[in-house]
Amino acid sequence: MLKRIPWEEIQKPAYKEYNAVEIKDVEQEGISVERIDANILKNFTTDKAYGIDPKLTEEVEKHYNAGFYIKISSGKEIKKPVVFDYIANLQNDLLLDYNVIEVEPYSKVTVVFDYNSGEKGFKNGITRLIAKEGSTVNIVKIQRLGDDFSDFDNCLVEVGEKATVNWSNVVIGAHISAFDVSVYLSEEGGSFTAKSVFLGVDSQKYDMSYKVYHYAPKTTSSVDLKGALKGSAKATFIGNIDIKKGAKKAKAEENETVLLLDKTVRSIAIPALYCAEEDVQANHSASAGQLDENKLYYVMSRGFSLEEARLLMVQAVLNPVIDLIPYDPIREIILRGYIGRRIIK
Amino acid sequence: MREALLEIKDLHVEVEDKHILKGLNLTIKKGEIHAIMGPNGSGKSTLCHAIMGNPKYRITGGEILFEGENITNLKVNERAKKGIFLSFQSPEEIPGITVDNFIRTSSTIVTGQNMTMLQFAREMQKMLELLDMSAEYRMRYLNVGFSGGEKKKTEVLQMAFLKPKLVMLDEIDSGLDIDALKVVAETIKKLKTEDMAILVVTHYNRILNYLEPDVISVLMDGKIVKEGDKELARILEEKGYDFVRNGA
Amino acid sequence: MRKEEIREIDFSIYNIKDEVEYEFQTGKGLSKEVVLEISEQKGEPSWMREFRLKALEIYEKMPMPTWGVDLSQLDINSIVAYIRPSARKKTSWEEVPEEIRRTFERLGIPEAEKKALAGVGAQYDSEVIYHNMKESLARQGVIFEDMDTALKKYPDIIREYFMTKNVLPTDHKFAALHAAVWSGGTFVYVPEGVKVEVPLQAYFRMNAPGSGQFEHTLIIADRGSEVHFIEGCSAPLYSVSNLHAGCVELFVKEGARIIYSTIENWSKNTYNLNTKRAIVEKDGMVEWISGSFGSKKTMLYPASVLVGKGAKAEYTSITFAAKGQHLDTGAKMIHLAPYTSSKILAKSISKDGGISTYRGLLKVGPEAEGVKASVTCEGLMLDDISKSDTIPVIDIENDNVDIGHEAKVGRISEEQIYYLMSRGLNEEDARAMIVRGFVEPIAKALPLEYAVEMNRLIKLELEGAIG
Repeated sequence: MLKRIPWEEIQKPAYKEYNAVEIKDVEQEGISVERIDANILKNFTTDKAYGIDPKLTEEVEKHYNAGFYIKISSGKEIKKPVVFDYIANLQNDLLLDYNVIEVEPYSKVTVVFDYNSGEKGFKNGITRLIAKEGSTVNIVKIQRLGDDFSDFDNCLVEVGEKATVNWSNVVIGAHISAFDVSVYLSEEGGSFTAKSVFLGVDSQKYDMSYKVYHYAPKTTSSVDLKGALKGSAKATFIGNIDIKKGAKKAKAEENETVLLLDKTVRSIAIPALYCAEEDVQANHSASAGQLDENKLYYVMSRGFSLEEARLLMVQAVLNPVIDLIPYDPIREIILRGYIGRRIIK
Repeated sequence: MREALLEIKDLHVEVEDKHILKGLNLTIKKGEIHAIMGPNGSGKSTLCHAIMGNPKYRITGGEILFEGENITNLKVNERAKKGIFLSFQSPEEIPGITVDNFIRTSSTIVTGQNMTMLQFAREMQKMLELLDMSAEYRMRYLNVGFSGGEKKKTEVLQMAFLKPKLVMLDEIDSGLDIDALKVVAETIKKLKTEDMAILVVTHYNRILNYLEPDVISVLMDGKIVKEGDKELARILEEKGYDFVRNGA
Repeated sequence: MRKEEIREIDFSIYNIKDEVEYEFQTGKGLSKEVVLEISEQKGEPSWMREFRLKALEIYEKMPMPTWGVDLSQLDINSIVAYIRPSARKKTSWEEVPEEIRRTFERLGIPEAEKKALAGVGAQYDSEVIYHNMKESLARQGVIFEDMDTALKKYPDIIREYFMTKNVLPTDHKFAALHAAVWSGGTFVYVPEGVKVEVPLQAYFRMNAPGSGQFEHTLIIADRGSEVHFIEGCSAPLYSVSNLHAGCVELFVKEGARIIYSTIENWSKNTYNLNTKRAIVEKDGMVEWISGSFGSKKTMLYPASVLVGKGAKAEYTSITFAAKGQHLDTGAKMIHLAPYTSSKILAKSISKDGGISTYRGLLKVGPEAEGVKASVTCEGLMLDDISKSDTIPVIDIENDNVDIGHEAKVGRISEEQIYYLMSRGLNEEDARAMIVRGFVEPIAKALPLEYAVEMNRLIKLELEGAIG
């Protein structure tokens, strides 16, 4: 069991059904959506390593109570983003979702997962993405669950030849939230880009992990994580770039920036780089610090209070990724509601 | 009648599967200032690198003769030792190796002569003054953090010590302001010996105002399509490259 | 400061016997008797004997580390033969492996030194040179003594500092082992305000039993003092024993400065598991300069614990892992006080299947306000069968910090080689020049003769790489 996670603090409700998901814009040509079941899952067994912890992935595999199999047929450009609104509430406070997204060659699609609402509960999910040859897939994951939620997201991404996967991730809710995105670039020319933001306040604890495996030549990856911590929030970031022998001309980069807004926060980063191939370009950077004093002063000289200035600058860091959320209503809620509320008390 | 220093016969060069030079013929005589002009992408830089021997530029036909010797199969450093010098358009940064250290090592190899510390320091000082560069450049790592202009000056600094027979200037005027261009061009003129040939690859005319060419060749579509004297430069400036393309 | 575990990394230990032969009866592991024998032979005070026995107990209880290099082929029990004073075998020059002898030639090591470095014979004129140095230092009040002697001459100071507040036997298994069987080493004490001009060098003392294997170096720089200590040398240190579990404890008092340089080139059959730590007080500074070549496996993470306001630490290193080698090195910077700063520059080169791993820790405690820290890691790979890994951990518990980390890995660029060749260098020399430039920051920090030797050593290592 992963020692980083404070298992003792997690409360899990008894097993029950989940019936509160809403799906939007799934009625577009080329999309087929079915509720996940054992028959479908039979076709997607894998021996690739992924997930936060085997205990968690096993739990979802055995006891999922929600989830969909989304298939995009070949050569289709899906214009509108497909949104899966996973709502939590009193009756639906246990969510074990298993989602499989299979995108056939040369298709384009954006899929949004919005985990929201509720106060207390437990979410543990698996998301599998198979982006086949030449496809372009944008995934947007938003986690804005209630303050007493425990949230776990285990993701496995397989990128096909010359396929492009853009992964955006916003983490602002739950008391304990962990994700692991394991990406396999096993075909030539595959590309993976992740843009991730988080905001931790009070006693929130985040555990965020990206593991990118370059197996094939000419693959590219770029992971950018930015966030802010306030109160006694804690964030752990694991960013592994693993370039295997044979992945010639691979390009990999990773950046992590954390803004520390209070003395009592804790930030742990392990940006690791494993390289077994010489003909590559790989680099990594991580930085942590406070808001730039000069910038704060400048903003305040234009009339903002210290609090307002801080909010503005935190937004400046988080906005670029939030702007990528293609769904306006959600964007607004996050900008106004969450960030504003959390920074200015 | 001047002797031929460099003869290029029916040269075909490919870079990354692209056929850039398509049967190029060119002769450069000893002591000549020879300008190569042409539109972007015509292969001017390719020509320089092919002469220098960059392995990325594959020769798929024709030959290059230097002082009568076929150098088409010689390695880069061997060509340098024969007296061929290229001032790079984008000189590489070599962290950890000082300008001083590098030039000393390189000149010993190419000229075959070992200067004493004193001789070297004197020569360095002279050259730095000519190029309007401060002495502190000697201890800086080669090209690391240098501006475009500083990099070009450092190329000329190297040229001074290597005493080449053929100097190729690959767009030396790009990135230089008016004053720097003047300094660089005048220095090159001062360094030019009777027998030294200079191949000036340029887009613009500016440098040709200082290094007046004896011959101008126009490179288009992978071949030399026209030859003329400095009058040609003026015509090109007025009428553009299409003028030449249309067979004038 | 407690042990840091990198939980994501798991190297399992297999149980394979070591093939080295040893003289006396096998089957006996490290035992109380051996430890007592060592202490007896040295004529140590009883408190040291007790200390050793207690450490032995700790050693026996602790498990082998589950991360880092593969220690499966290290059979600790076999090293007993070499630390047992009575059973100690003196090697003859002829028994030193051919490649070691040849390397000495090419590095230009003088005749007399060769033998000392190879652990051969006691005839070494260094005693004379060493003696003179000691006299001039003594005039300044500086103590520069081998550890065994220091224990007898200055028992109080040793008792106060020896593995009591810095490295502790409980830190990890090899610290405990070291505490039980340590032998030889160096003790340096620099009095208040004294700046020692000449770097102090340690390799004279290769002749004490067990020396070079379990050496203990203890340096105390009193307030405002300065000293530069150099350990090791570029020549391969051949020894029959294949385990080196040394320990270095540095105490930098207020306003003092210690520069600790190491060039290690253990012969390629050795396991090099050193523990090095400095405790730095107010406005003090420690600088670690390290060149790791040689050895089969190395685990080396000099730690700097910054306990006083304004304390500083710097770590500059080059690690060169060639065929059959796994060099796992890094630095630990632990900021426990305000306005402390640290800087890490770790460069590595891997070739011929060598594995070089950077494993570092940058920790900022809750009291550490205004910390500035930077980490830069660069890995250069010379072929596609080697590995270069960087595993840093950055753990921050205070907001008033300015922390930056960057790492990159790649190979010598073709463009750079072409450029250098266009200036007359052949391909081999072009590569060598680029590699020299790569290691320059480390060479610059070493005294000249060491830098020269290091560059020669690199050239030798590279020659294997090209062609």
